[in-house]
Amino acid sequence: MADENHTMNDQSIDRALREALDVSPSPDFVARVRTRIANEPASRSVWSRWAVWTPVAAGALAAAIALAVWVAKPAREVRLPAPSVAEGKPDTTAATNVPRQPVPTVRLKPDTTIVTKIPVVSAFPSLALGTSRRTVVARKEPEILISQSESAALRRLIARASEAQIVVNDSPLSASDSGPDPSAAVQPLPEIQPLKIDPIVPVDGQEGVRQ
Amino acid sequence: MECAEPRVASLMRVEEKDDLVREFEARLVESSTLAFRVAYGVLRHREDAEDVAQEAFAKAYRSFRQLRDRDRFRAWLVRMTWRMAIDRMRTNRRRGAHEVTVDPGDNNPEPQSGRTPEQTAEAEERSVHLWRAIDALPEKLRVVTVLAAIEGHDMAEVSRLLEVPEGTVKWRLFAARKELQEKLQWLTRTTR
Repeated sequence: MADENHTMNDQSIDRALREALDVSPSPDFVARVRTRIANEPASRSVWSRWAVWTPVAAGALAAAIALAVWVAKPAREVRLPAPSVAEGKPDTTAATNVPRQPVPTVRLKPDTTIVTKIPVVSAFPSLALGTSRRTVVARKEPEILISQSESAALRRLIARASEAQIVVNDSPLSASDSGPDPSAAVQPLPEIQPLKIDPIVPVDGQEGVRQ
Repeated sequence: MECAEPRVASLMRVEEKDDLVREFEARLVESSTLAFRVAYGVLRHREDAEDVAQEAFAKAYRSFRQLRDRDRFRAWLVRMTWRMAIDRMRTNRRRGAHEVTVDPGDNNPEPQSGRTPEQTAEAEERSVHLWRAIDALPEKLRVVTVLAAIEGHDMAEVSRLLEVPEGTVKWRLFAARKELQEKLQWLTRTTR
């Protein structure tokens, strides 16, 4: 009996559902769909979309690259003539084994511009050798006032440092001498006599009495 | 000769488009009622169901060229219509435009002959309970129930439309009926 009720329930549910869904669209439904489709833009193929978007993407990419190059360009470049010395391999040695190079020029007038020759270090020697000119960036440093004597001393110091002939001297006046100064030899210290301390003796009075 | 090639290509494109439109037209005629009923099974509102079905056909037309296996058009359309109808129902609920209730007189405007007013009222109440119970079903069970209730659909057809094995359809239908009975019993008891 319970099984029969269960089956009846299933059947009644199915019947109710079928009745509820036994609906049809209005007669003009298909015609409206046709009108709607006719107003739709023609569906494009995937390739036609690519054909539209590829040039746009390429143009955008080219513009981005041009912008990046323009932003990365240094503010000022000074091209100097090629150095007279024959250019060999580019200098890629470490700082501990730096070959001799000309002393940087220091102009000590107002509006001093220090032009530093930057050694070209390239990871691609073939590319570096291909160029006949070296680009040297001139940086404008703030004005520095140095006296003539200090300037001369600095020049000597740099020149000797490059020749590894620096001698430490205690006399600043002997800096102009090229050889070691015999007068600057270490003198033996005079003998120091031991100190003799006499004990304090009270003078005519008891101890603790104010004198 | 140089002008002939683009002309031939454009003629071929026109022919291809004509073929596409003809094929879609055939699909539209054979599937319009199905799409409408699927939407109606969710929305139970004639105008809304027609709107959704129309929208689904427009969307199908836009992507029809990319559908490689044209035999799967009905399954594709059913799933698309179902999804769009669910979206529409949620939108309607949010807007509060009209509550999704059952309108038994919607599809049968004329009262059925041989029924007393009490019987008609009882049938309406039963229908309201039934749809409430169906709405409370999980979506997988609900879609199987609705598709199986559409006239002319057997298990194999539902299986084809949902692209799931027939055994899965049977199991889901069994689970749905069991759950519906429990809900209907509870609804009948609470309303009396």
